[in-house]
Amino acid sequence: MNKLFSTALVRMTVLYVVILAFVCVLFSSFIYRTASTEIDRTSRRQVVGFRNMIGRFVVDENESERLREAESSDAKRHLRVNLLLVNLIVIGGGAVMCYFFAKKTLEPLEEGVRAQERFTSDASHELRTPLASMKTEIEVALRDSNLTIEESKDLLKSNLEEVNSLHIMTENLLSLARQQEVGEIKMTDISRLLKSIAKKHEARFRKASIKIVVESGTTKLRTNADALGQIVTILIDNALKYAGDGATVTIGAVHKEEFVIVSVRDNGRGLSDEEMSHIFKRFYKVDASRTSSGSLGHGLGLAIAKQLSTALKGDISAISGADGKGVEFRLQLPIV
Amino acid sequence: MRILIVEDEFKIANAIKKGLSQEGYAADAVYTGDDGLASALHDPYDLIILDRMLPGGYDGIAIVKELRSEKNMTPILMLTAKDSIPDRVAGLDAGADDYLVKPFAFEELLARIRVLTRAHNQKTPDAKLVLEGLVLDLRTKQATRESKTIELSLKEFSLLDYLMRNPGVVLTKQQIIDHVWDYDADILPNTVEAFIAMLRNKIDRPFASGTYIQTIRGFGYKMELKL
Repeated sequence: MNKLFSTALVRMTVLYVVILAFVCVLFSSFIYRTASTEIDRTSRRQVVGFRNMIGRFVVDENESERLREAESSDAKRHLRVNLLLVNLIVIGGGAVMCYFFAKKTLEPLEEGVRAQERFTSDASHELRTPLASMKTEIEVALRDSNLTIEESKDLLKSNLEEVNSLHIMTENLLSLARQQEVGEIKMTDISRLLKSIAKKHEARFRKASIKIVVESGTTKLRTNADALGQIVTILIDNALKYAGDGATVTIGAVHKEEFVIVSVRDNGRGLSDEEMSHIFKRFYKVDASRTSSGSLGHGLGLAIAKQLSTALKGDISAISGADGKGVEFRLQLPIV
Repeated sequence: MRILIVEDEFKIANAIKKGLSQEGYAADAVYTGDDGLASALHDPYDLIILDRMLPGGYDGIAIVKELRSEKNMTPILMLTAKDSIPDRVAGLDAGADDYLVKPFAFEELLARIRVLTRAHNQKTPDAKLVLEGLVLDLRTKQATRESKTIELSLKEFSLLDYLMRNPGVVLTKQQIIDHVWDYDADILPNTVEAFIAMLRNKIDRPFASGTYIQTIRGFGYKMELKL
């Protein structure tokens, strides 16, 4: 546990216990006062009753008063001990409960801080690697007294690749950081949208000899076409990256009860359960050796897709393909 | 001085290799943890530059631990893009000797390499090797004898650097090849003889006050001043 949180936990527990003790003391003193008045009154009444019964045998008025006092102080002592005992138990038991209560309160906070730390660490890695690559290449080139034009051109090309990669990553990070607000919601022809997206990526798919199939009836939905298009594009990009040459990518949309389900399915190598559980996390990347191109993005695409689908009041999930092959992404959008 | 670079980013690995070669180091680059561990255990490197995050079976930390448990004490300079204190501590505690956060200045990398490979007989703090009257400046790559400056080629510098780090020790030609030339160099024992001859022409021949490079017949060479 983080040191910050263990101190906070101790402080909170102490504060809770102090409050509890204060309430207990207040309550006990009230009980004690009420009870002792009651005791005095009862004992006095008893003495009066007693005197009435055997009045004539009592010779000494003082004797009876002393008897009464002894009896009532005895009862009060009894009361004090009992109250002290109850207080100790309540405060002791309360302290333990306060500890767990404070722990429970701090848990989500700590998880949030940890997630933030993880994000910073991952982001710094993703940002620093291309910068390191550029910096080292440039410095080494500048130290070379016999640098040729050819080598300089190679250096610039290599640097440009890194700049482009940083550019994409910056855009992705900004889009994640921005409070996602989808634009105008209007009636959208989903099947036409899917077809136009498929067409846009046709050339890239042909290059990897990946087939793209659109399976969709006339499905209409009130939604934001740009956001939906962006999600589908991210899913297609992923399929292109991970499905491998010669695979088939099927995109489609169906009505199901009060939802429209948009799906992007490939028949590539698929994902393990372990990988499946992480893919929507920011910066998560499956092993580089498993991508068809050998290269990777920054692990932000699916995180953005998830955020966008939430903004559309929908839900995105991934499941393994029917025969354990490939992955199917399902975007479930409510019909309003 | 031969250096192994274990780094999965091709561009960074190759740029470091190129930069180190320009400085007269023999550098080999490998791109996976498994290759890195195999190379480090197989060849007698003088320093390993090791990336912290590597794909596949062995990452940087695992490699350091494995090497140290095999009693391989080659100095290790760890590179990382993660700079949180726990990350750094974990790297150093695993057995790395130094830690450099990416992106780094190449000048600093070179300075740290000089520190990590500082020879036991290197008495001066200013990056110089000294053997009796012979001084080798590791930064300017010049030798000095009897207050005369001797210009050296990169390879001659590397060779003299290796010899001066092992004074009084008989070094075989294979040992010299292992520490002065990188893996890709196609080198024969004859080449070593040729470079030794060139070096003798520069540091021994012109001076009357004795010779430094001694031939030990049937074994190799020894660095020692003989009057």
